Amino acid sequence: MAYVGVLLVIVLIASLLAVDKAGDVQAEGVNSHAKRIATQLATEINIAVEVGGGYMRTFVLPTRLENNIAYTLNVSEQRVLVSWSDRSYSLPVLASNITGLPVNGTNVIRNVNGVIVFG
Amino acid sequence: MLSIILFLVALAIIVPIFGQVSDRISQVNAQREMETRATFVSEALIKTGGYPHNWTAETVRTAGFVDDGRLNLTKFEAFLDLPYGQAQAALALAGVRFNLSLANLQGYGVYTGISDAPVAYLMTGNTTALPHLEHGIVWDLYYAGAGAPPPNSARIVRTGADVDMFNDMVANQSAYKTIVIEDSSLAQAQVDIEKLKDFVQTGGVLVVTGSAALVSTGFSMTMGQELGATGTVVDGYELLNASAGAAVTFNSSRWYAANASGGAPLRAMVVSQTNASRALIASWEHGTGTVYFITDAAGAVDGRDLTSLLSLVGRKLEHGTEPSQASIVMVSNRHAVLRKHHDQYVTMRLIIWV
Repeated sequence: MAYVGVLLVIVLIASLLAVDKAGDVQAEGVNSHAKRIATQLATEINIAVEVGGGYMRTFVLPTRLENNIAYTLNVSEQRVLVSWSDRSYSLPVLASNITGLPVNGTNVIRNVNGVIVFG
Repeated sequence: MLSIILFLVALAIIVPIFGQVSDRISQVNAQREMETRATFVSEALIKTGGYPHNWTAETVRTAGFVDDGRLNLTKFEAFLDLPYGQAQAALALAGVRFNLSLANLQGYGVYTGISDAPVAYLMTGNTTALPHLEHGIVWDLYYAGAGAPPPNSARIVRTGADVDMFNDMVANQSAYKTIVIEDSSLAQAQVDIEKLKDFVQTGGVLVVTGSAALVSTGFSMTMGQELGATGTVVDGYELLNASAGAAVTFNSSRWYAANASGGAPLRAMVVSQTNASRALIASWEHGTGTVYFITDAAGAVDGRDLTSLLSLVGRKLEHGTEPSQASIVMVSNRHAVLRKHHDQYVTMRLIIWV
């Protein structure tokens, strides 16, 4: 009987550790997802700048982060900014002249005589 | 009992493995993120002018150094003026430490002044250029003065007669990007002057103070003599930090440079007060290199010490410290052209770490 008790305690501790670790992994997954979205958006903008006037492309950004977490997008001061929960991540881009804002979901990006236009 | 032991053994094996795998995945993700950051930040620095476009150390939101396809030295200097935390923010590197520097194609650090490393310095007695060279730039001393050379930080020190030192120096010209000749009494006929011409023609920077006898012919400029001239600043360009109109006195001025038909365009920085066509401090192109002439490096500009106003070396174009106690380090090297007195190919190195 004592063995079973010890076993249960060990299983309980192992389960708590596993749950804690799983939480870390889950949070890390959300962070990584947000950063991948920022990288994708920054890459889309940089490609539009490098290709030049007349460029147009449709691309899709996730509507929500992993675990159904909401996030927002912003582009200003020559950066893209992804914000979620109480965190944010930004990357500099090659365009300072950007009109419109990217949205969660389907986006159309164009280069109109050097101006990057969303929507 | 046996099943409990087996269970514990299995648990003892699985838990550490799970932890290691999890940590490894986190580390790989962190490395990828750092790699992405280094790439995007360095791209923005060498391909954009930053935000706002004409930013200063007070107004910068996002750093970028390029104007008209070249790195703008003024913007880089403004970046150096930023405290470390503000510089991190301007690079979009909050929470990430960094080191940003420029090096020439030989790998030596680039400075704000006219000298490009390595520098060869022919010293015959006066030491006006010495304090400038002690700012950390790599340099060699060719000493032809009396007695022992003064204390210095030169990489190599050679001593001997002035003719021997000159010829040694120009024989090693391929090892240098800048040659400084201070107050030499040598004449062209005494030395291997063709090697000095080759040095400048192939892109070297030559700084001559005092006697201009060594560059009096064959260096794309007409040199003449006017004893005891005083001057007026017309434009400091990149060498003299003084405002136009400032009066300049020299301890011992004798030579001047003057435009000649068919010669190189003269960039006069200080002209004689008696004849404005005579430049007492000036620069000009010779081949693909540049000659700087200073009739006397000792003097005063509106009462301020002339020597201290000369940008012979200046500040090193580097911000931040070297990585230490870092778990992840990423390095991004980008080639670019820096606009100084002439266009200079440089490597911008961005190191980031956490």
